Amino acid sequence: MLQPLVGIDPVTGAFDTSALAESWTHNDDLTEWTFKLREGIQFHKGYGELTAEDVIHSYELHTADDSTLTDVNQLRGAEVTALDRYTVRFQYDRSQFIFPSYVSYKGALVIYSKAQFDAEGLDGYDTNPAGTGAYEFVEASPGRMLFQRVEDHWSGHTPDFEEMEFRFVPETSTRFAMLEAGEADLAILNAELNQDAEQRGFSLLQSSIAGEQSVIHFNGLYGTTGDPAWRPDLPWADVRIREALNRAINREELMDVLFNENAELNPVVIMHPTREGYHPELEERFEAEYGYDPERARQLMQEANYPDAFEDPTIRIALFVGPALPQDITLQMELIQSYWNAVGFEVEIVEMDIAAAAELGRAREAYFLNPARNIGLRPTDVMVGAWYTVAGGPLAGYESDRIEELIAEYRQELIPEQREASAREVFEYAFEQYIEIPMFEIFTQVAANPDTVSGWTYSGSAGSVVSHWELIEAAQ
Amino acid sequence: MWWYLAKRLLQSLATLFVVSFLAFFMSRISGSPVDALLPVDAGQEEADILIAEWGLDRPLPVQYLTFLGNALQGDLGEALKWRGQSALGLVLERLPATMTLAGAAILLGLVIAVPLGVISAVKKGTWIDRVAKVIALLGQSLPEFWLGIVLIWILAVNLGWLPTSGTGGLSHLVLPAITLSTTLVAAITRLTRSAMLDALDSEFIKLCRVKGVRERRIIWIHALRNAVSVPLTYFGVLAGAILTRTVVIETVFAWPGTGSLVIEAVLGRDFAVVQAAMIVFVLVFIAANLLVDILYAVVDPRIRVE
Repeated sequence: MLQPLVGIDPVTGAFDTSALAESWTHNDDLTEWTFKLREGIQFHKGYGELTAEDVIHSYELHTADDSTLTDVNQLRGAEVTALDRYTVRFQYDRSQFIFPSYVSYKGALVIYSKAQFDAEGLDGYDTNPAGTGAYEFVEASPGRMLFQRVEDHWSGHTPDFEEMEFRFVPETSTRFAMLEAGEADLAILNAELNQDAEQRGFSLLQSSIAGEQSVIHFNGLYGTTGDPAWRPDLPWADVRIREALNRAINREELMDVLFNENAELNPVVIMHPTREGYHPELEERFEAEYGYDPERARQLMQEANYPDAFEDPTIRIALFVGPALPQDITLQMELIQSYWNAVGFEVEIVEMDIAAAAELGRAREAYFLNPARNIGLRPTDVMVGAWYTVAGGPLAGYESDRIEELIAEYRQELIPEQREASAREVFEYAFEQYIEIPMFEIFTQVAANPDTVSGWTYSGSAGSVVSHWELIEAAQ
Repeated sequence: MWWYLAKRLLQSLATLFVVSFLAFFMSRISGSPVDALLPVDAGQEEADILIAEWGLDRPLPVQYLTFLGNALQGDLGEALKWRGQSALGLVLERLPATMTLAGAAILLGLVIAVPLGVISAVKKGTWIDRVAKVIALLGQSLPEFWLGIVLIWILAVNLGWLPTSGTGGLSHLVLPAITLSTTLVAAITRLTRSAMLDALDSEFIKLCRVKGVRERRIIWIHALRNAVSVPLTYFGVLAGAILTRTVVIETVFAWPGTGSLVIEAVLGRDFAVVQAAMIVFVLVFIAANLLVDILYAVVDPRIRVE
């Protein structure tokens, strides 16, 4: 319903001109980004034509101090100017290498109507927002939202379905029951129920690309020089133990059990062919250096004198609980625990919620391993900063002088080829130091009633796992 | 009577004070809302901005006194997860849905449990009694979460008689109300049965029979009136507890009430909403117990004398 400046191709996941901007340019040092808006785009509910003033207004609203939006930090600090009615310029005192990402469906900035704000204030946005997308907001009540198709939409595309109703149903089994009872045409289930749905004749509509990467972080490795939180006595502070933990997992077997052929191996988390720093050589080396080899795992443990060399040899896994967690994570971690037990690791799974874990991370006391996901394939720059630097988020925790240095070099590069090379170096270091346990790239699957829905092209990487609602195809 | 009510009101205020204290400190033990609400890439700088904005950098006693002072003026703070909305407003907005569900469950529970308990006592040892005991046993032992999903699959999916979930009409209320009422049915059936057995065995009932009062009148008027104070006592507890159990039922049936709001607020560390919900739940609990006390006096003249 609300749209950003930059669109995302539903097949390739690449940025495109399907949203509000018809083109964009930048200066040499990437401190200025200028967007040319498409003329004639009308806001819903009669709020008039989209102009550069709407973009400036939306930017100011989104980047206010109290904003908690994802990537808003990357967006902050711009001087935003309307060069004419349809041209807007963002000017920074720093280079913005991947700015289109921050103003696309992946980022924080969507464009609201300034005219609506002037007439109704924030209440208008809250109760009856006017957007520019192919569906228009109709009404909302707790647990439910209703949208209707915009006839003669500016994009020239008319969605197949006249109305679209979203029901927010927290329990997966209930969602499946709604599909089965004919109360829902589409339902997001989990891997296990997707298999059941398929057996019962429902179709699974898969994202075009695997937009969700899963990983297990070696948290608590605060290894930059002089950091008082550094604990060399942690078993996973030893690179041999990190390799052994990687080697002890049979990823192929896990994929078969957990993902019904909708996942692929992910040699280096964050790295992806569509993102900066893609390093195909690491994919080739993956089997030899990370492949399932319990004998090699035992040998490495022996070399590291595990468990005797460690005061507390327990490999502690923090399993985050809550509805936001994909249900396959629990099963996945239990299976991984059994692989690790099989080669002789002492393993303990501790359940905690994500906020409590993050609080430990901020206190620099997150001495555990934790599974995580990079959902929507967020940009290399953002993710290496969030996961591998001292200034990053609290739920990763591998830090070292070397990776700080590599990331700083990468971020300073202005020339695209050199940035690519520097990003590859970061990934190479991550790969060789076993700083993560990379797991899978997972396609999103949505269960659909084939009597009503025949297809849906969505990239799976547009910030949330599903997108491009206007492309849902009706069965005849 | 007025003195009694005034005394109960004072006790209720003391209870509310204790609950506000517990709600405030317990919700803060579980972690910071900042980490629940900030995106994964947020750094310490963004966390610090929110901590200052929400006053989380001040000592806890100061935060509590501020909260208490505002609460006395009817302001339970602004929701942290649902920005720009009042915590109490959010809870009150969802409360009618929860009260409707709880009310339906209680009504259903009483309509089934009291007659079942009476018949079970009157027909002690017969197949009806055994059926009633099985129902009571199942009602107390079956997990509501599981029962809710099974009912959805049988009655909504396979038979197509009812909607699976959500709101929209009376038919949407049936499955969650049945699920929520099971524990109530079980407990009230058992208590009514045992109280009726005692009452039916008492001297005044024997006298009624000797005087030739009709058996139906003896059971449903004289015995039941004497027996009802026992389940009524427990009803006060159950009526309050049923509100807290809506948390699970509302999740299973996507019922947009206070229970599902509480779950979201707890996971999002929205202190303000959790506190507001606890205080509203306690108020309802106090009101239910006050109602039970008044009903005592109605059904049992000895209480009025005391």
